[in-house]
Amino acid sequence: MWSIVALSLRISLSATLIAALFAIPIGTALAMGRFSGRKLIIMFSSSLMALPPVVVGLAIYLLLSRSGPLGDYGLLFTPTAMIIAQSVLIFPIILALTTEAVSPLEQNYRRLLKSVNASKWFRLRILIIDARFSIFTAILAGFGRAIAEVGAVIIVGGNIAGSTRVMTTTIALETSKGNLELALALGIILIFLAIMVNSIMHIFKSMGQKYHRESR
Amino acid sequence: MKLTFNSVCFSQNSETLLGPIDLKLNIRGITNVLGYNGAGKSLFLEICHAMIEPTSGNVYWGTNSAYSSRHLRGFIFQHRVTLFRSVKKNIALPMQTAGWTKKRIESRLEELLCMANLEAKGNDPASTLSGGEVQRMALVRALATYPKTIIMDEPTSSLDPSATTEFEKLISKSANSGIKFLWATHNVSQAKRFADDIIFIAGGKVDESNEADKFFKNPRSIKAKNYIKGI
Amino acid sequence: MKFIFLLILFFANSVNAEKQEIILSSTTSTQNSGLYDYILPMFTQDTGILVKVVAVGTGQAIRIARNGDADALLVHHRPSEDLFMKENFGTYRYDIMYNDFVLIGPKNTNATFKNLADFFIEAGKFGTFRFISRGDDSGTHKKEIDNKINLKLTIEGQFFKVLEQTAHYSIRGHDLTLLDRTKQPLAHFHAQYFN
Repeated sequence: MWSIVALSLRISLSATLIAALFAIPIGTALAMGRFSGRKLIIMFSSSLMALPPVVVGLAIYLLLSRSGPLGDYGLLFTPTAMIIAQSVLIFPIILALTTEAVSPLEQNYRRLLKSVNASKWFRLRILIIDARFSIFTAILAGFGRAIAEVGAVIIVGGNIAGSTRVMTTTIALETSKGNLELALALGIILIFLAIMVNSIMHIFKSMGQKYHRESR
Repeated sequence: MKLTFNSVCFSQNSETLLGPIDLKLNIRGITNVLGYNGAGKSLFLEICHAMIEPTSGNVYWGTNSAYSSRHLRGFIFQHRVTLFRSVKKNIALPMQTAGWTKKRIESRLEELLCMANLEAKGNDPASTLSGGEVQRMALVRALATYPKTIIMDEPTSSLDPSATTEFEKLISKSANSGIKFLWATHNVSQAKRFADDIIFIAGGKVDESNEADKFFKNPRSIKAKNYIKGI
Repeated sequence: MKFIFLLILFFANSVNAEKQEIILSSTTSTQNSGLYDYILPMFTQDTGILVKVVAVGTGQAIRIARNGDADALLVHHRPSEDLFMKENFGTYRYDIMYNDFVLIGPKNTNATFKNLADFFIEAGKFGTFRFISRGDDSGTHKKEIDNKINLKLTIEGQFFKVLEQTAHYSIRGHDLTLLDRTKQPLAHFHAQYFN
């Protein structure tokens, strides 16, 4: 059972890391940008947040299938496929939450950073650093969704024992077999993880508020 | 330091807020920018520092555009504008954007904290500073990278008299060391004490640009006369 | 830094998978029967080939194989299998097992039926029993449908309810359902066997 938990964590942490690596700079750039089409992108990305996992799973399945465009890499039914699916699934979440978190800070900093002749990269960096608590909350929200997700990973992972079987797919399987004890035990671990993630989120939120104590 | 405006206009929603302004000004020491609320002083200053792009026309400092010479100037805002960071990190900001080494920033920070009389508060969050302390921090922040000119937008308007005096002392010191100031203020007596030159802005245009003595003795327009009298 | 380390480790792992392995697309019931747990370790020991089982419904299992995502296929629905072979997706086809379907319902059910078709006729006549269908395109589901088509019964009959997955806990009161007799806990139920 613990190897299943470990695999779940490994897959979801990797997916969160990959999604965050892209979503945080892009989300911050979206908050900084004044280019046309920005609102459209923000709207699009927040509607992607509502993507049903099975649809994402199906799309990734079709991509990675031997008969699909990326079939030659043989990634279907591997943990890598599950990481890809989860990354795609949580990227819009982290992106939208990052944009939301950075926007007010950017409003606050915009004129000052302009006045000291800060380059775009410098502004991006300083905004990410100073919004780190809210951004971390965004990452945790993404991780929470990734680890609790079942629809996409069961399609692209195949729920293969010892290879791609994670907590949620095990719960689904054991429940269907009527083995409710193991399903419940894993469910309790998931709930415990969710509570942990949420309390860390709260701690970071309040830390962020302390640092960002509004002046004036 | 020569400031040139070439038929500069700024409009928003087809309403002209500033200009057209044509101006050739040699900033000798302290140049005060005067004008009623809403006359366009802040806009004028922000266009001077390329914080806002004019709708048409060009601004030059010497032979450089306002944008490309931005690193040669410092800017001080009317209100509390800080990073949500410590005082030290706030002051270090322009040095970081200028690409200074950590070591150089450290040693310069000590001088600047001392200059602003904030040695004891270097590691405090900037949000805990009083209004006067924030503006002194803003001044040394603007001075950090040895700029030639400092632009200030009513920096003392929300300070109490003693904080204002302390801030003014710092300005005198800097002016004596050769730094030029382009300084918007509402306080006519302050302008009388400090100004070498005056730019009087009314209705989005430069109403008069003159030596301070001449301006206060014999303002050209009725608006300027009334302004000086406090009407 | 810790996260990055994990990630690299992972990719290293997946690239490293040089040992031989095949993917077996199978029905859930075969996996639930415990057959693989028993037989696959021996197979791996003998041949060195690791078998990864993707257990889904018959329909999805065949689809996975059609897409080329599985190396072997183990299902239980003869017409689909024949079509699969006819369309040249498979190389060899062997019969290795037969299905043992059971109709289950509450213990106090006294009714007996000669066969599944008989049940559908009786149930349709009196409406006494509610039949819970799998509705998941599994082999068991296909068996239900085959019988109904033979009898020209409509799928949406009033005694016919579709559940996503049938497990013992979803059957209540006078409900009856068709199961593949594997490891399902049947003790609580009156079971009738059909071949």
